[in-house]
Amino acid sequence: MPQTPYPWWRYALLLGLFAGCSKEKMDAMVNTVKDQANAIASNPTIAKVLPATGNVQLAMTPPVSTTAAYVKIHKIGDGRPNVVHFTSYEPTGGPNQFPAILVRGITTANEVAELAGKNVAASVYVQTKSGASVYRTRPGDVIEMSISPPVADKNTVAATLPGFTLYDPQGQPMVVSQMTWEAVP
Amino acid sequence: MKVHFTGLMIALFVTCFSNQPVAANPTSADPSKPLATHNTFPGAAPLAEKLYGEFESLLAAIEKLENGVKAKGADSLSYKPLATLKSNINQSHRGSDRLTMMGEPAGYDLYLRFHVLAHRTNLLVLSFMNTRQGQVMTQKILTQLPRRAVATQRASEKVIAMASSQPAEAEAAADKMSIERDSWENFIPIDQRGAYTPPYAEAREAADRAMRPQRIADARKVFDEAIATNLPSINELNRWVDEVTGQLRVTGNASVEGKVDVGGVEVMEELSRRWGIGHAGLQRVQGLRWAIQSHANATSLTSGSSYPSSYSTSSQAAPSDDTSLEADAWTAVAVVAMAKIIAADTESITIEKVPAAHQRYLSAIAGIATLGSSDLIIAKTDEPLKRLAAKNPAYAESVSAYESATADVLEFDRRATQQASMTWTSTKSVDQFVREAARSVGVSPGLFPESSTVPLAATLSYPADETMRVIGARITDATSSSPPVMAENVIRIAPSSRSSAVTYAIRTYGTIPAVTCPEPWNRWNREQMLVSDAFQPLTITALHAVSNPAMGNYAMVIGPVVSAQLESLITRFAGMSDAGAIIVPRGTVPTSDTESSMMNQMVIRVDIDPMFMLTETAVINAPAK
Repeated sequence: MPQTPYPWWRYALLLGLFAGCSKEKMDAMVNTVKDQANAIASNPTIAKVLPATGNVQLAMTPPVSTTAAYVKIHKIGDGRPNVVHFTSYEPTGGPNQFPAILVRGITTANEVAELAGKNVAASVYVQTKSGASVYRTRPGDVIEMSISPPVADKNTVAATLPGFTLYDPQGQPMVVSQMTWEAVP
Repeated sequence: MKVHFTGLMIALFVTCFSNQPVAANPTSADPSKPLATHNTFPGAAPLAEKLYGEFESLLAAIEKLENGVKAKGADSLSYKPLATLKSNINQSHRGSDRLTMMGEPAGYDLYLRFHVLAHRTNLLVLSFMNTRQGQVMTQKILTQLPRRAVATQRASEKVIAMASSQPAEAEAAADKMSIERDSWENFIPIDQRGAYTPPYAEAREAADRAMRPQRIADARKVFDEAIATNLPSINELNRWVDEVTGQLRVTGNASVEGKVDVGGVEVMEELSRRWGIGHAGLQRVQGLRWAIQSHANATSLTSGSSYPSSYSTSSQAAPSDDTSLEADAWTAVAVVAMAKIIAADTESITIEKVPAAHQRYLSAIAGIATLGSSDLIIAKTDEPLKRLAAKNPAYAESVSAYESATADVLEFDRRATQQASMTWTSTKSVDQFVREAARSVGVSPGLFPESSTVPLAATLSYPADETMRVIGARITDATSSSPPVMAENVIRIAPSSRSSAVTYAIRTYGTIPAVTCPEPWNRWNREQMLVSDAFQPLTITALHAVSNPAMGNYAMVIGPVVSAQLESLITRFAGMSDAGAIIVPRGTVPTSDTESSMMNQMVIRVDIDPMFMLTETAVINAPAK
């Protein structure tokens, strides 16, 4: 199920609430935040480069898609390989926004830009709803993920995975005929 | 294959889990074995051995007479062998009471066994009395008894008179009278016995009243000493921790057990060893306190009379809840000491040594945490570990990056494993399985009532061998129809050990062969956790994900029960070996779930043939045999 985007300034408001602000202060804050948001939206230069939220599409029956997607390279920095995560949830929050989708692979790339045009041997994790079955690639299975070269004026990373099958903990399969990503770095 | 497995497990358990002789405890394969003794009171083990030996020979003698009756009728019986049997059984019966006074549940089992023998002998005596020879004997006794009455009365008065000043002599005289009583009592009609028994009974009671409190007090003294020896000293541990952390803080090394230059991680391992010894000591203390409690509540089994409270030691009996509090305190000190060691080491460590030290601490902590109090250990060592890593900022960043690179996969795997475990929601736990297989059915003896909705303690009401013959067969029958059971908290006994322990819960514990994960799976799992020979996991969660399946530690194991062993609760704990204490998670001691005497409370050990193993983050099929 696609997720309804939640205006980001409401989070700021909530933060204020937790910080114990007074009603007056809160109202002032809301207005400032709104003004800033409007300013960003009405500024044509900023709007152009304002990151898209990205998305991931799973071609299957019924199809699954999200309205956000992220890509992040985890650099351990102690000599071990880097790991790339394509996630449908915010990279620092853990798989707690649903559908929660993770595609993960080892990479030599140090920056997201270096991923372009590369293939990554990936494992895949899908949980469509909170509490729903977790579908995973089987131990040892890898799916070849192709990452597209960069497209001008687009700051998302596109990637495609060909058809594959995931399994839930009871061994029930989930057949995905294709998975495509538009992920925000 | 199963036979081989069972035999192996029994052999392993005898070596790993017990101080007790090899022959101890009835099993499903050999129900006739005696109950083991913890032998806290010197002489208990030889007395038990002697009494079990007497049981065997008396049983053989009874069977011989019974077979004679079957083959040739009651005329095959004669007075002398029957009177000797009666007397020997009663003497052994009194011996079993003495063993119980030493805090040995084997005494209770023997009491039940001799009770059965006495009953079978009484049936033979009844058959004999219906014979012509028997009737002649009855008449002869009834003629002699009035003639002996005055002498008997005098003998009884003498025993009563010397009971307080010379209790041992009074007891010997009472024993003599008891033997005499056995020579006639069952050979005359029941309604005529009452006229002659009082002097015998009064002498017996006077002697028992004199000796029994003394025996209990003697045992109590031994038990109190044993408790004092086994209770770990928190002050001593604190003193040692202060000493070694003082050294670590300055030089990064400490002297431990005569070795100088011992690093912080080795100091932590030594701490864990000391913690473990104290933990095992606390298990023994719990068993000993239960034995004392049972003492206090005990009535003389053979005379059937209870003694006035002035003879009981109940007011001095330590409540067993104390042991739980002591275990809490001991654990708290040990866990805080782990944190202190890391903190002390951090003070003198050089930047370049931080990564190796941090990883070795993680590995040591992950290992120690599998033995119990895991949450507490992880919570208390988190901050000092972070401080240690922070001494090398580049390394601290690597740790943090590693954590975010592995956390999501571990979370998905954790959820999937939790979902997988739902497959077995209808699978019985080891305890449920045992409870059903070991309940009484009709007249066949069990450890639990036939129908009961409340969980009850496993109580021995019939001799251990008879009970095990029934429930052992039932467990085997249930196994042949193959319902797998679910065992939780499985820990490899030692890295080199061939078995893992299923930790004690309610009244069961167990073992499974140490099954490690198949190598392709391990390799894949290590890759997922970015681990290789050159690169170790940098978080405890990742360490557990990698090392638990490779080591043979599991959150849950599913498989059929292949064999069982019956043990007494007191002996299991009072006689616990240091290595065997792994069956109880560190930081806990078993608690009593009954108000009554613990002397007849039992524990069942099961051996499980694993089919599936679950860690926190993986489900693994057992490799094909």
